[in-house]
Amino acid sequence: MINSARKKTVKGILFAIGMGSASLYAQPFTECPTEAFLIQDKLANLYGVQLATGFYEKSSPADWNQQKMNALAFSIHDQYLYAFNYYFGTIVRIGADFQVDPISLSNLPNKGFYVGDISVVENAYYLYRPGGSFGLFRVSLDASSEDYLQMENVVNGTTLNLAIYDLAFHPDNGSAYAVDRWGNLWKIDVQAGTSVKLSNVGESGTFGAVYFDVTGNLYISRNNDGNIFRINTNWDYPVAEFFAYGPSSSNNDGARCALAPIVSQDSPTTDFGDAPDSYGSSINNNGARHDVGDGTLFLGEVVLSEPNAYADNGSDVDDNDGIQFVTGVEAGKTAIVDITSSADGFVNAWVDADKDGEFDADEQIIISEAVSVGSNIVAYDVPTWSETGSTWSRFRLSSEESLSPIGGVSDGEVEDYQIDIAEQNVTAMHYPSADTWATLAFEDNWPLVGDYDMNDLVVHYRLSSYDVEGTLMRVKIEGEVVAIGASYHNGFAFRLPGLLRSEVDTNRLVFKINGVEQSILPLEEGKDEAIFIIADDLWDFVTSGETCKYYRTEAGCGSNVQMTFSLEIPMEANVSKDNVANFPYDPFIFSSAGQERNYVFGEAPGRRFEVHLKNQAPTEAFQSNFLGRGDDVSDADNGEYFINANGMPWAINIPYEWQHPVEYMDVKYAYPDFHSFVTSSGELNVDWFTVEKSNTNNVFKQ
Amino acid sequence: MKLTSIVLISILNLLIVACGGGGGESDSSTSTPPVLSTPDPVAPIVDAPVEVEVDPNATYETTAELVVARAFIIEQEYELTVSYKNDNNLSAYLSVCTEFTEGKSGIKVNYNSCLLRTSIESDYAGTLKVANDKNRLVMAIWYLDDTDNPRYEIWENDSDAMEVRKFEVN
Repeated sequence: MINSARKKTVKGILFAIGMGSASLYAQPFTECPTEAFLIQDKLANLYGVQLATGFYEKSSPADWNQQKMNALAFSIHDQYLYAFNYYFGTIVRIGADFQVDPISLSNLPNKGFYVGDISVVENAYYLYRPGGSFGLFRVSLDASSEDYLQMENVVNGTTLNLAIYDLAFHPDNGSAYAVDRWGNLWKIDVQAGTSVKLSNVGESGTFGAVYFDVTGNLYISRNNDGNIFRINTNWDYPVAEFFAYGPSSSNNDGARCALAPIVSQDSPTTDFGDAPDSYGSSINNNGARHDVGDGTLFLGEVVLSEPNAYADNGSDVDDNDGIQFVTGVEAGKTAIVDITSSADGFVNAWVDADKDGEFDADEQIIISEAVSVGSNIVAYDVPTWSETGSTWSRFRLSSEESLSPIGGVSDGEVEDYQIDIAEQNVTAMHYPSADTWATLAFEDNWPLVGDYDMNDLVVHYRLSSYDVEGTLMRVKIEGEVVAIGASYHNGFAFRLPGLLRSEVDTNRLVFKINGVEQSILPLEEGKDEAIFIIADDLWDFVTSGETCKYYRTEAGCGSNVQMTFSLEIPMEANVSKDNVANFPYDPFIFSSAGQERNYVFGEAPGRRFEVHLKNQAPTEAFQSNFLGRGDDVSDADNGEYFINANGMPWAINIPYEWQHPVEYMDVKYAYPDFHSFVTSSGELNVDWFTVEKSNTNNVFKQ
Repeated sequence: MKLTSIVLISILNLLIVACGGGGGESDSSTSTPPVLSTPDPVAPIVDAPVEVEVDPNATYETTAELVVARAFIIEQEYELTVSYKNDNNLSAYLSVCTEFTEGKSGIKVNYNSCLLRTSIESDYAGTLKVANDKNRLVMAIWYLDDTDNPRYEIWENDSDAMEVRKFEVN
């Protein structure tokens, strides 16, 4: 499937008109292509090049039989390619069907041109050749102009003396740009025949193919090694940054439609990573990216292309499937990964061990490791100086042996993984597992019985604890708010029973909402217990859909999950794990400040109102005489809390990514086995909550 | 609908009824029952706590009627004690996970599905909370000095087992 999709995207542009059709005239391209064109070799071959990755593929037919061409140019005015053809000794027009039509010019010098491009702001082809008898020439391609197809010398090659091998027109300022063999960037005023040196870009060599994109980035391709560099001409002193590994050639000229972005939005061919952009992930930040290429080299079972990092790949498939961390990642110890490759290649990998948001040179954990098809067990050393906690890793597979953590390459795949660096000899426990969700479902009408649709608040979450021989080092809480099916304003919090506020190392605590680190300390002030407030009012973070009352509980009211959260809670020294409660700790909701509740409360109860899981005692912030009001029959002396006369709670915890009932749907009709599980005190139908046991018509669907 | 719950009138209520109406009538010989017209003021119990006993065979139309044992906290996990005997005190890494496949090339574990991950240099023993829908677990042991030969052990839950479940690997 990938293969065929790939072929479609690459060839679709060039084969817009069927190959070999003996049309009278060459056919134009049907759009402004995102790919660049490259013409090479004595017997000419035309290639399509993805500048973003350097991936290139021969486009011209095997029996093209065209002699050497150069000074390739794409005209945005008529959507044809133009080039100087050495066989005809004049310029030619090349169609999307590869038909080559020579064009007679008057005043043509008797030498060929290997530098040229067509202006974006005027329909004219500019050609350059150094030497006193040559220089810069202009050919009007505008049939309505008086000088149509007349070649005129703008300036001689002594006055405009540049050691350049290609030039490209800026998308809107009318100037041509070129980089000479010493790396000097020239801006050429083609009408005046003058040039200005803007900078030295820091890379030298023969740049035989240069291209612009629509934002004013100039891409230059070096003949000897094929490296593609990007130069932002908007900068005051533009310099070259390495951009991609492209094709090398001794005879080379490039052209592209300067009005196109360099990655197609409609039919992308590029795989991006998904680490935060400080690591270099998006195209703007020269992110790590791989052309899906011919679809043969990738990690795991699948690679998918996307228009940019974080963009939807158009399917529900997660193509981050090639790396298994068979051991944990512990500072200063050997760790093992199992890398699944589809074919022979090389793997380079990085871990952001100092957690500074970048992959530095000394953070490369796997260097040019040769891998073959199938499973590859690779051991590596985790830096001793690693900071513990959540961080990112990047794995790149390519036929290119040596890669940096950023930039494009013409094949393979990049996979970014969020990992946890642990202390040495740590024991990590996960609930319900390292990457699955458990679900908390609240009825928030306490102390009055609700409607048991169990969706007034639905939170997915997972918990991890890390201890070294019984000393608790860290706790991690991650989650997402998946539904709010009630109008009350609730805060959401976790208490870690048994843990004191003073035992938390607040300096190293990391609290994120929607991936963004929060400056507020979630540890509740003025309490002895360690209580972590995720949100004072969840409605501050989510909105109901248009014409919807609630958030993700009514049919047709789907939206993306709007709130995620994560908390890394490091401990001060010598906290015994045995003193702290087991999973799931104590998640609870409380009433937001100043917000009214039901009639049982004379005034807005605020933080004094809490709802916990069954028989979980409230926190010290709770007003204890709220117990027993309404339908609540809590009996603190017997350890019974937040239950009604039937023994039913206002909250349940499910170790599963539970699909909650739709609005007003009694949980029984969404999960028919729930009642017998409960009446049997957990003996029967223990898997009542699974999707297989649900009545799919009665659970919320996105 | 069959509602066969046994309603236990609370002792408190019985006492209130028994004491009620004591107001001054001392002639207990009369056959006329005492008229309880002006009962003593009692604590204003809005909804007298009425404990409803669980009937495991009951069925209920709605969850509002559902009766749950008070002590049953509707937990959806079971406890599993895990132990591994590391005879030669090898430096190893032990994982207990729920997702794995058994194919021609052996067992493949999804290490994102683990409940436990730990470095070991001696024996290991611990207790896990396992979700009720997970009935097969794998233990993967990777020896840091012999990465070509990981060891895998599979455990299957016996849902009828009365005692604490044990996943022991020697």
